[in-house]
Amino acid sequence: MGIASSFKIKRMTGALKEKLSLDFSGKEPRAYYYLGGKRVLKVRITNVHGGDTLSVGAATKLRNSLWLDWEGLKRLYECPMSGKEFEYRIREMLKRY
Amino acid sequence: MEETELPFVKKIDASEIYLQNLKGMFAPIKLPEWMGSKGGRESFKKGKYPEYGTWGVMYEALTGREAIEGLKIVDELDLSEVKRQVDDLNSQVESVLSEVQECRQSISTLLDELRGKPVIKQTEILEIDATLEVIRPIPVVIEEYRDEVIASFTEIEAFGAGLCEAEAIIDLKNEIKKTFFELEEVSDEELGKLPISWKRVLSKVVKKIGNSE
Repeated sequence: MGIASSFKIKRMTGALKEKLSLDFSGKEPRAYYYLGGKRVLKVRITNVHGGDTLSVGAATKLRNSLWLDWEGLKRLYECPMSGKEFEYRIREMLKRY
Repeated sequence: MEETELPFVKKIDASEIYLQNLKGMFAPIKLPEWMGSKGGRESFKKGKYPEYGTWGVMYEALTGREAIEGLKIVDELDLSEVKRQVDDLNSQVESVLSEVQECRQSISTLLDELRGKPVIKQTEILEIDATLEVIRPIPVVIEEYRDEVIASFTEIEAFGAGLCEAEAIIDLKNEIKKTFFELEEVSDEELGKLPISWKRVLSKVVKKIGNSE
């Protein structure tokens, strides 16, 4: 299962909050990512087992909602990808869309 | 009749000697009389009599002593060749073992990948709750992972998760509802391209019939 099963929920949530300025204030980590004052993406982290690691399914959905590949999600999680870099990627994606 | 055991000799008696081929075969070969002479042995070593091979011998001898003499000749001729063949076999076995190990590794990796792949099914949502009426069946993709189920309405990037299919679908319904009301409460100017398209899709599949709590 490789990359997908190795993400810690707390660390992932922290990275997304910090880098993407997501407001995970509700019961479940769920928020919109804003660019230029507009809602651009919807990000949600589910945890049906209550464990500390993101399940493969939840990680796959998170990756899709962020429009990233596994490597991109890993870079976002492990720090090399900054919020600015993520913003640039999304802007580029939106140009193609 | 006399019997004895010597390295790689299976059995010796007065009339026969069998040398066991290390490949697991017996190759009975009749040794000619000239083998008894030094010149004959030299010629045999030089490979002048390939028809007698190098792997084994059945030496027709009248006595045990003659048989052992014959064996000594063969022993002298074959030992280094046998060693070389054993070494070759050893390296072949090692190479096969290493390939088997690689295969095991690949199978294990494939199994891991397969376990990470969900079983995918499709269904539809026909009803949500008292606040939203489904005006067109909502296509749902069900992904059954080993330890959880995810139900998605891909077009609006909404999904629900649960330990079973029913739980995942209920979660998806809640997610569709939340998304509908979140998008409904803001103007299109505040939405990016994707959320606008989600809003459009939602307006085609559900209709508000009550207020969200």
